[in-house]
Parts: sequence; structure tokens; C-alpha cells
Amino acid sequence: MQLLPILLIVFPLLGFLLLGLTQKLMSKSTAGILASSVIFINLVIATVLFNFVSSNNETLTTFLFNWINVGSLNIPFEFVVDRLSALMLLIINGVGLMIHIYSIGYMKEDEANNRFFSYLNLFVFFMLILVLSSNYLVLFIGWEGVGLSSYLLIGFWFKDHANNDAAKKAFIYNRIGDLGFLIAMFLLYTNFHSLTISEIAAKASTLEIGNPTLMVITLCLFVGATGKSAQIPLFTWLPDAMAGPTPVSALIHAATMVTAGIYLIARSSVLFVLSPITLNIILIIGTTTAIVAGLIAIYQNDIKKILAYSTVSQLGFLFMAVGLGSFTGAMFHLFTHAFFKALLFLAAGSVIHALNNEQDIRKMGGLSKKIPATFALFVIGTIAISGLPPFAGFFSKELILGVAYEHSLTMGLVATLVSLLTSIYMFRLLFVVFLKPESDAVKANHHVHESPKTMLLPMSILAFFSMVVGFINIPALFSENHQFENYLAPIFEISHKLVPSHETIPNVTEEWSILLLPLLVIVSIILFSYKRFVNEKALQSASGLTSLMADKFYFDEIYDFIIVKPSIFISNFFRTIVDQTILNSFIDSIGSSTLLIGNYVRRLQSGNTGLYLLLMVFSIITVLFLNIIL
Amino acid sequence: METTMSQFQTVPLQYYIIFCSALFSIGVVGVLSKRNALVIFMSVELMLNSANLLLTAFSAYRNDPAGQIFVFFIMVVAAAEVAIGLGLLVVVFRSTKTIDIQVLNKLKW
Amino acid sequence: MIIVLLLLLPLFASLLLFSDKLGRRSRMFAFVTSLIVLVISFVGAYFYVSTGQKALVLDIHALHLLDLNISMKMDGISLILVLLTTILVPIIIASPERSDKKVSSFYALVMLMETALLGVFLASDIILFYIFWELALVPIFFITAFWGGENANKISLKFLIYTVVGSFAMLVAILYLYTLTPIPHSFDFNTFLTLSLPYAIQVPVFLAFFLAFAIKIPLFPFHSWQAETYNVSPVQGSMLLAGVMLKMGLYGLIRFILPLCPDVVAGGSLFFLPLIVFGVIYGAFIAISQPRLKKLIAFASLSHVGIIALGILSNNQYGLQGSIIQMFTHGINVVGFFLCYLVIRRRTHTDIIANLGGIASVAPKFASVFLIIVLANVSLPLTNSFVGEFMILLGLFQFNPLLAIITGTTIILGAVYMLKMYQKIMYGPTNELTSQFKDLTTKEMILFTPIIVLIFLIGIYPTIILQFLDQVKL
Repeated sequence: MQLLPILLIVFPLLGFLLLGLTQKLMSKSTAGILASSVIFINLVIATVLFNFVSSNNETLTTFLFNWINVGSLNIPFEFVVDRLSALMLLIINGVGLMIHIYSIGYMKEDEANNRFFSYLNLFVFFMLILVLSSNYLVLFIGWEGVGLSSYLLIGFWFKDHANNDAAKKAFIYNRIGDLGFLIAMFLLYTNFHSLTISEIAAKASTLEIGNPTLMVITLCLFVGATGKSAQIPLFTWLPDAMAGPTPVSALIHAATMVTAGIYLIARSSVLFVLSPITLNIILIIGTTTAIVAGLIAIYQNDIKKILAYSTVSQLGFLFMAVGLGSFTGAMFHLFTHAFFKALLFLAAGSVIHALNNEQDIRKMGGLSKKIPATFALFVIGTIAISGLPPFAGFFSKELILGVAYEHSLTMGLVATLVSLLTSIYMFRLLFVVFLKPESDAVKANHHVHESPKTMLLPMSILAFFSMVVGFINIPALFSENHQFENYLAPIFEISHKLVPSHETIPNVTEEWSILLLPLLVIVSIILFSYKRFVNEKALQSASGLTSLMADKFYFDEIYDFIIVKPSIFISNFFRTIVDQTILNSFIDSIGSSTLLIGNYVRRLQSGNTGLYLLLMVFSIITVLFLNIIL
Repeated sequence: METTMSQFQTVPLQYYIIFCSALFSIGVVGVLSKRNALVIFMSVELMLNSANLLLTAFSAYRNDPAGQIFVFFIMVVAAAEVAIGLGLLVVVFRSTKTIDIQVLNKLKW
Repeated sequence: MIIVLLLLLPLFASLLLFSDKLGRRSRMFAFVTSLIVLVISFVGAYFYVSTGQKALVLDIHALHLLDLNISMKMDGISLILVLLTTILVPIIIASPERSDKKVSSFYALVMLMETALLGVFLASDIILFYIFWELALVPIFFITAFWGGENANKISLKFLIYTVVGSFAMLVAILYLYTLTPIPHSFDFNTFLTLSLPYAIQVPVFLAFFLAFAIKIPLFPFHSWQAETYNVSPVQGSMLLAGVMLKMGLYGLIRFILPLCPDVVAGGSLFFLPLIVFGVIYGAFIAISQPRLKKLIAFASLSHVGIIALGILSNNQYGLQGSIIQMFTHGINVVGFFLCYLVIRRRTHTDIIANLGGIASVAPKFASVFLIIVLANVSLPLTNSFVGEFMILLGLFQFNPLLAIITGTTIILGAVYMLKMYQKIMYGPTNELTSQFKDLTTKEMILFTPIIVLIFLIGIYPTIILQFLDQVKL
């Protein structure tokens, strides 16, 4: 048992090294199969571990070696498998396996197929370190490591500088968050003399609620989370990250890496429940992000960008849940979201594949007949994300909505609004891509083809899970069996003890209204958007407020104006003015002034020996006199 | 020796000082006013010797032989200096046919 | 014995090379000698660890006049820097830059440089330290002036005068301190360390030493020799400068400023630390818009060594130990960086970043190696510079949180300039300069191997360096 977590790490690393070092030597199909089988073994191990921790309430600790050990600073390389990390292991390896298999088909024609799979394995390696680590610093290895893999994969097609810019942007935005994380670690170490998560939780639980140090720490951690999980103000990298291959978007930018922020907060739940101010800030940021990204998503025309903004919006929704104190709700939605968002991305990839890399939805339409299997899968994904029963999204959203209504009516309404936005943009996407009459581009394209089985199979599996996975936590209304909540209960036990949770079960009438009201509205919205988007005029250019949304509220432009441009200006100013002109000329002027003075003084050396003698005598006399005077 | 010393001491020390100062000043004036390098050279020697004389005088008055030993050193150095100086003057004279220092202004940057 | 061998072997090799009898074999000879020196230093490290001695010591009272004695000591800090020197010199000698002029003398100078550097790190007598300190200037000056590029004479002269000015200030301070030592006066380190100076004396002593070290390191605003000297110097010269010689200044900070001026250091957050922090940010900002690769390395280095200096001056254990590791890793990384520069330079004959592009698609091996070195320079976890940087920032944070946060922004700025540079050089479409870019040859791969190995080894198992620091105290 102790060895299993190490094996989890070792296999993807071996896969990465093997694929990376033998790039040209290995055939493409072998590479894909090798990479996938590595993840398959990992999934088996993860399942074993999951069974172990869920059957008996233990945590499994594996110590490798002391990473840093000087003086009082002791950072062990140590892995912990508890119920939270076991859940993440299942998501990462499960969804990861599907996406690996999908990629075998999707990346078949790419030259650098082997490089792609090696990066994917590298990503899994770092992601596993992230979720398994027992302390913040080792977690940070994974945290930065997934950022690196994300950088490599977004810029996978590096011949086009647009992709590289997107990759660089992602890395730098993440680094901004990382600085927050680093500062949080410094504060943690200064205050708790440890970086081990469990120790810190134990020590922090003795502090009173609203401790200012804890507030600063949690805020810094949250800054880290906003970078990784694409929240306002650091969210603009995620839509750009769609420049990467679609499986990457599905794995990294929808299902796993972007949820790392939520994972971090859930891991540090004790710290967060003790800082109500931070939770409120998280709530505000999460809500704003969810609404803003949802609004932007409605007016985008790139199929992947829509899904990207949808991811941002859903992540905002997750942060709302966290802000409301419902870590279980957030984790549950994270869990279900991983399946249906991965499914949606893969289905979108299938559409893109079918249309030979066309991503503009204005050039699609009528695809339901041409690629029926993809259509069916996409419908499942759409229904699941919109929260229609009985698919997975319904249950997880219901949990969060319940908490929101419990918190206050306004909050509940806002949360409902967010989930409504989801259904608007998702059904718009569905209708425009599949049901609208064929566009000219589609008509002209005679090679529209359904994807191969290697792509359809993993999508079907994901679709299956998107349908059923919600049943593990059925609302109180129908059953008393809260499997998911019970499963995670030990993790959040201390936090719930410290601060009585909002996650009380609402009474039956409330629950009915929470369930039914949104459902009614969703159905009407579906009907409305069907009318609106299925005809030809649906995608005319936006104006007024809508153009603001179509232009993404000008976030990028504002950042460009207030950060990027001034930085470049400062850089040039320092380089040309300060360094080359002021400092350098100052130093050089010392040298040149010496020369200048010498130039004058040398005239004294006239060659007239009489003058020399005269000067000599006078100087001697002067020295003598000075000697007498002083 | 003792008697020589006491005979020296019969002349007051001030006389020696005044005499040597005069000698020295004559040397200085000679150095400053003459244009002939040879004369300047002689003036320098005059200054040197005035200093020597003074050293000897003090040595005698204080019954300390160190001053007289110094004089010997100085004389040796002066002899060496004269040899080099005169050698230089001869070389200069050979090449320029003059030892007028107003003419010898080639020694410059 | 080990210390004697360490010092004399390169010295004799250098003398032999100056005699110019070896002709074409001189490079091979220098390389083999430096490898032997490397092995000796490993043996030294082994003794140090296995016997648990506090230090390896050599004491020869050779010159009793002026109470000058040849006294050498190798403790943990010295050992790490000695290892750095002995590891880097073979790489520097082996790095392939063809210079047809006087090959033999070139390698003689490199070996002389090695002697001087080892002497600086090993000396435990302050006059000896000073002698080696100045001796190190001689070879690097000639390397830059004779084998350098355009304007090399002028720029190397500027470098020489600049650093000598600093050294002079240090010499004055040393002589002054000498007069303060108890009678009989002594230049021994230990005697100096027993002095506990009043604050009023600490300040001028600090300023004098700091000037010397700040010029050598270099710290803002004394850095203006750096970029130019790197730029004209042959790559081996730049490697020696950036890889090892800069560490002399940092080593001096640890050896002299910390023990001699503790009160000044303790109150430093008000006057010199903000200056250094500004320098760190300043270097990073300049690197963003730097059009030439070699100068970019210079300014990146300015930023990095500033952080190391901050760690040393942050007056606590974490910062100091982090700095010592970082001194080692910075040497490795910057030499790796220069090697990448060399590869690009030899193939394309330019180092203007804007003119390059698309190399990754024609040279995948080189792309991977370069990427690893770039990542090590942005201190990604599991590469060598992360541990040191984390500890430095942690130490600085405990000393002054605000300064630590400001310094922390370099992890963002570092990513900006490094990735921007990497993208412009390696990614994008190829052009006529880069389309024929040959991938790394086996020889070059071998050259890169020790660097890559050290990057990961120290990143994953930093104890390998940290174990030498067990006995090092503030």
C-alpha cells in the first residue's frame, strides 16, 4: 500500500522520459498506446487506493526522502492519500485516460505526436504530485509543474506565434498567482514554523475566527488560486489557452489543472473557514467571474472559446460555493464538471476534426445529420452542464443552489442566474452548431466525417458518467443517502466543527422550489433560444451592451494599457535612459574628466627648465612655510 | 678630537646657521637666475654643501657623530650625482652645442 | 595536502602553458589538468564529509616578515565554491570557441584564473585573500582585452580600473583593521573575527568593503562595467566572470561584512537593501527589452546575483544558506546559458534575438536542453535554483516582508523576459538564418550533460549541497 502512491508518480514520469528521449525512434501508434497504458495502470492503482481510503477511514502516508533539511527548515518529500486526494486521483487518471485514448485518434496526423504524449504524461505526473503532496512546498512543485506542462501544450504548435503568445500569457498569469502562493507559504512558515498541511491545520484550529494573519494568508492563497483557476482578475489567459490542441483544453483547461485552485482551498479549508472576510471576498470574486464569463460566452463565435468562458464561469460558480462555505458542494461540482466539460470539449474537438480545423460556429450548422454520434454526445454534455435532471450537473448544481438559498435569497437568485446563463450559452452553441440550417461553408465541405472509434469510445464513456455520476449524492428530497457528503466528511470535519456549516439540509418545500423554479425557467430559455438562434439572422453583429460582451468587456485591452505598455515603457526607459545614458555616462565621465584635467595640466610641462626650477624652489618654500604655520 | 670639538664650540652656533643660510640662499638665487646649466649645477652643489656644513656644526655642538657620518653619505651621493650630471651636460652639449637652459626646452610633452 | 595540490596544479599547468611548448595539445593539456583538479576537489569534499572535520587546514608560516603567513582553510562555504570552480573550469575549457591567436597563452590564463579563484576561496589570511583577489583580475583582463571583440581594449580597461578602485577601498579598510588587531598585529581571519567593532567604526568599514564587493558582484548602481564586458569578452571569459568570479564578491560579503559589521547589516533594511532590491527589479526590467542575447544574460545575471546578495544581507540562517546554494546553482545555470548562446552564435553568427526564430523545429535536442536551462533560470521547482531562491526569499521575508514581496515579483518578470527570449529564438517559423540550424552534436551533448545533471540533481536532492553547510554558522 505504501508503495502505490510512489508508483502513481513513477509511471507517468517514466512514460514522459521514455517518450521524450526516444521521440523519433518510436512509432506514433506505439507512443499513444504507451502513454495511455501508463495512465491506465495509474487508474487501476488509483481505484485500489480509493477503495482503501473509502472503506476504512485512514490516511495513507508515504515518505520518500527529505527534500530540504537545513536547520529548522524541514521539507519532506511525502505523499498523503486521504479521501480528498483519492477523489482527485480518480478524476485525474479517469478523465486523463479517456483523453489520452481520444488523443490517439485526434493527433494521429500530427508530426510531433510523440512529443504531445510525452507532455501529457508530464502533466499527469505534476498533477499527481500536486494532489498527493503532504506539504505546501511540494504541492508547489506540482503547482508550477502543471503550469509548465500547460505552457508546453498550449504552445504545442509553436510555429505560429499566436499559440506561443497564448502559452506565454498562461505561464505569466499563473506566475502572478504563484507569487501570492509563495507569500502565503512565507507567512505560514513564519507563523506556524511548518509547511505541512495537516500540522498547520492543527495549529490553526486553535486560533480564533477572524485572525488577521490568517486572513492575509488565505487571501494570498486565494491569489494563487485565482491565477491557476482563472478567476477575475487573472482569467484572461484561459480563453487564449484554447490555442492548444483540443484534448489539452479538455484535460488541462477544463477538467483538472484549473480546478487546482479549488483543491488548494479545500485542502486548506481550516484556514479559510476561520477567515470570514476572505470567504466573502472569494464569494464576490467567484460570483463576478461567473456572471461576467457567462455573459461573454453568450456572444462568442469560436466553439472552443465559448467552452473556455463556460469553464471560467463554472469555476466562478465553484468559488461561489467555496465562498458560501460549502466545500463539499464545490468538490462535488468539480467532480461532475470534470466529466461533462471534458466530454463537451472532446465533442467540440470531434466537430473541429470533422470540419478540418474549423472553429468558427458561424461556419457550422446542420451537423446533427452529418455527425450524429457527436451530436448525441454533445446533447448529453449540454444537458448535463445546464443542470437538467437526471444528469450529473443537476445534482451538483442543486447542492450549491441549496446552500446559496440557505445563505440568503439574493445569493440564491444570483446563483440561479449564473446557472441560467450556462443554459443560454450552451443551448445557443448546440443549436447553432447542430440544428441551424447548414451554412455555406458546411455545404461546400464534402469531407465532413464522423470521428474514428478511438475518439468516440472515450467520449461515450465520459457521457455515461456525465449521466449517472450525479446519483451518488441525491438531494435530500429523494433519499437520505448522501454518499458524497459522507465520503468527504472526514476531510472537512475540523472546519465544520470550528464553524458550523451552511450545509444544513433545507426542508422539503424549499427544496422543491429550488428544484422546480430553475427547471421551469431553463425549459423556457431553451425554447426561447431555439427560436432565436436556429434561424439565419441569429448571429448578426452585436451592438451596444452586447458588443461589450462580445468584446469580452475589454479586459485584455485594459491590462494591455495599464500593465503591459507601462512595463515595456519602463523597460526601455531603464535600458536606454537610466542605464546607457545616465549611469554609463556618469561612470565614463569620471574617466574622461581625468583625461580632460590631464590635458590642461600637461601644459605646465612646458620644457622650460628654468620654470621647472623656479616652481621647484617655490614649492619647497611653500611646503616649509606650511610646515611652520600648521 | 675633544679639543677640536671644543674649538668648534667657541664659535657660537648662530654664526654657523647664519653663514649656512646665506650660502644656501646664494645657491638658490644662483639656480634661479643663471641660464648656464653648469653654473646652476655649481649652485646646487653650493646648497648641498651648506647643508653639509650645518650638519657638521650641529654634530659638533651636540657631540653626536651621526651628523658627520651623514655628511659622508651625502658627499658620496653628491659625487655620484656630479658624475651623472656632468655626463648628461656633456651629452647635451655635444648634441646642441649649448648648455643654455632657455634653449633646452625640448623636455616637454 | 589537498589544498596544496588544488593550488599548485593549475599554477604549474599555467606556467607550462605560458612556455608555449605544447602547441596544439595545449587545450587538451589544460582540460586534463582541470579534470585532475576536479577529482582532487572531490576527494577534498569526500574527506570533509566523511571525517566530519570542521575544515581542511593548511598553515605555512613562510614569510615571518610583517607576520604574513600562508594559511589556507577549506570549510563548507569554501568547499562549495571550490567545487563550483573546479566543475566549471573543465566545461569552460572544453567549450568550443575557435581562437587562432595564441591558443596556448589563452589556456594558460584560464588555468591561472583557476589558481587565483581557488586561492580566494581558500585563503584564511586576509592579505593572502587580497593578493589572490587582485591576481584574479590579471588573467580575465588579458582574456578580455586580447581575445575580445570590438572595443575590447577600452572596455576591459574600464573593467580593470573600476574593480581596482573598489579593491583599493577594501585594502584601506583591511590595513585599518590590521591596526586595530591586538598586538602582535595579525592578518589572520580569526583575529579579525574576534574584533568587535563599535558602530561608528563598522559603518566606514562596511562602506569600504561593500564598495569592493558591490562592484565585483555587481550590484546596482555599480554594474555598468558588466554588460559591456560580457559582451566583448570571449564566451569563456564571460563564463569565468559570471560563473565564478562574481561569486568572489558574494563570498566576501559572507566572510567579511557579516562578521565584521553585524550591526550595520542588522539595520540594513533602511539604506542598502532597498537599493539592492531596486537593482534586482531594474535588471529584470532591462532584460525584458534587451535586443541582444548576451546582454540579456548579463542583466538577468545582475538580477539573480542581486537576489543572492539580498539573501546574504538578510541576516538570518535561511537567507544565508539559500544564498550559498544559489551561488553554486547560479554558476551552473549561467554557464549553461552561455553555452546555449555559444551554440546559437556559432551556427548563426548573430545574437540579436529578433533575427532568430524557429530553431525548435529544426533542432529539437537543442530546444529541450535550452528549455531546461531557461526553466532553471526562472527557478521552476525541481530545477536547482528553486530551493535556493525559496530559502532566500523566506529569509528576506522574515527580515523585511515588504522587500521580500517586491523581490518576489522577479519570479514574474523573470518568466517574462526568459520566455519572451525563448519564444523569439526557438519558436515561430524558421528564417534563412535558422533554417539550416544543425542540432547538437554528440560532443556538445556531452558538454551539456554535467550542467543538465546538476540542474536536476540539486533540484531534486539539494541535500547534496546542503550537507556541507551543517556546520556553517552566521
